[in-house]
Amino acid sequence: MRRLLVVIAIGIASTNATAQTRASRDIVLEARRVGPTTPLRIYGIAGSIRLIGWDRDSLVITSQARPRDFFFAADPGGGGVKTGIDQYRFGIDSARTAEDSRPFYFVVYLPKQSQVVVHSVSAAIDASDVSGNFTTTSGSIEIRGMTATLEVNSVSGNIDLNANASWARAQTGGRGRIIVRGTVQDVDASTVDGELDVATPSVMRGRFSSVNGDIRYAATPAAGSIFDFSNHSGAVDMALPRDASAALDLSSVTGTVENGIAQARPAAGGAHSMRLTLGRGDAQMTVRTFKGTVRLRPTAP
Amino acid sequence: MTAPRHLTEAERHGIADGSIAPELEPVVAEHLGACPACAADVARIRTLMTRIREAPPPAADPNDDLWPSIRARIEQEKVLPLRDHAPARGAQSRLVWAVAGIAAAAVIVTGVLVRRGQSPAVPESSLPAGLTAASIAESTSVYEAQARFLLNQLELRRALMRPQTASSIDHDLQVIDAAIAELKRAIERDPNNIALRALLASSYKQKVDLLKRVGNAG
Repeated sequence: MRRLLVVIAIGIASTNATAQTRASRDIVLEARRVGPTTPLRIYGIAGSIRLIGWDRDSLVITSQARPRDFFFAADPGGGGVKTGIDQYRFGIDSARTAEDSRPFYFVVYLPKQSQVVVHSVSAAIDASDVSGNFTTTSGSIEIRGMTATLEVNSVSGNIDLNANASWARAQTGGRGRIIVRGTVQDVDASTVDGELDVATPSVMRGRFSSVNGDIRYAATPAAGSIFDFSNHSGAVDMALPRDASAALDLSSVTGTVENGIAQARPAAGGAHSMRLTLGRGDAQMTVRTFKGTVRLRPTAP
Repeated sequence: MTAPRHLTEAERHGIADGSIAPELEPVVAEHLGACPACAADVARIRTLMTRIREAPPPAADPNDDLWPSIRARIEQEKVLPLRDHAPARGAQSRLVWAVAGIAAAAVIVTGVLVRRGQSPAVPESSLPAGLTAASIAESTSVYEAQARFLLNQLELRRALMRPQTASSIDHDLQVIDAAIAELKRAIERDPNNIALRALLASSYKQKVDLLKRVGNAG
């Protein structure tokens, strides 16, 4: 037992040492004082962009090496129109070929609640405690922490919304999938072929759509919430606790509607449509597909 | 020795309109006799008040005459112009909001109808006034126009796009277009099916959103 503890301690020490070594190898590309309302535009090509909101009024950009094409520019008024508000742009200059787009790994510390606009090609974006607009072509996007509003777009990458946000819009294409968790209140999310998972009880207004990807909802809908799920070929799977309170309108033009909650008796419907109420029916949930199956089932105890 | 003070603003107005306290009136009157500046100002105030009293009652506000025409213009602009060609750039956001409203209304109506236990295939005559299958079709045609406009922009930008990005976008467009084609065929067989039309509008919205997303990602 004593030997095991020693091994664990050595392992932890070694991990810490590695982290410290890695941190010490990072160089500061830029550091300056900014306010939480200073707009920031961040550009990356490949690699990763990690944004960390902190309790300081400064911006620090670190990386393990200074990329050849790195730039930092103060852009008062957003280019041309002087509004008296500083705006900063930084990142890697746009690459035209794959050879130019060598991966770089940025870690950016910026004031909490900053509003950012982030563009990347294949670079993964990982942001915590910042709000704004995140766009990538094929990279993944993960947003965490306290935010205000989020606009998250990817051409084919995965999106993970695990943040506290009052409003969020997430869209991806190809096989890109979306996970909505955290505590988002008003959310609009859509995929093309990828799956769309919703696993948060915080949504008050939700619109979820896909073309071929399955949509899964697994949470307790909040009282007064309104949901709209639509899919073409993909299934919509609704996993609700037995004590959920919701009025459900489920329909599929050519697919089937399956009710797996035994105590919920449909008030109306048939093979292609069903209306039923769970509890007092406090939440409104509408599900519509063309040929995808609509399933209602209880969450696993 | 201090310089004599001038009358305050309240004293000057008070003596001009007669509302000054009686015990102050002799003192103020004495000051006016010795101070040309204050006397001139009180005279100005009295003249102004006389003019106000003697002025004829105000005629009808000229703005009232303008209101009917402004109102008419507002009412005119409430009518959503539907065009076959690509919408002007400035009008795009208005169209988007109008279409979103119609689509949302369609969704609500579909929900209400299903809730009533009816089949989604609902005769047009049973729909609320102002919302018909035709109105949903109109919203679809607006989305179609927007999609055409954005597709034209996409073609202009295609040369600047990375091949992998262009390939992803083309694939997504094919997937959505296949869904749209399938829905259109279903609508041909069942033209009064509101659910089908709502799904078609939703598919077009996805196409428009995709094309806008491409614009941002580019």
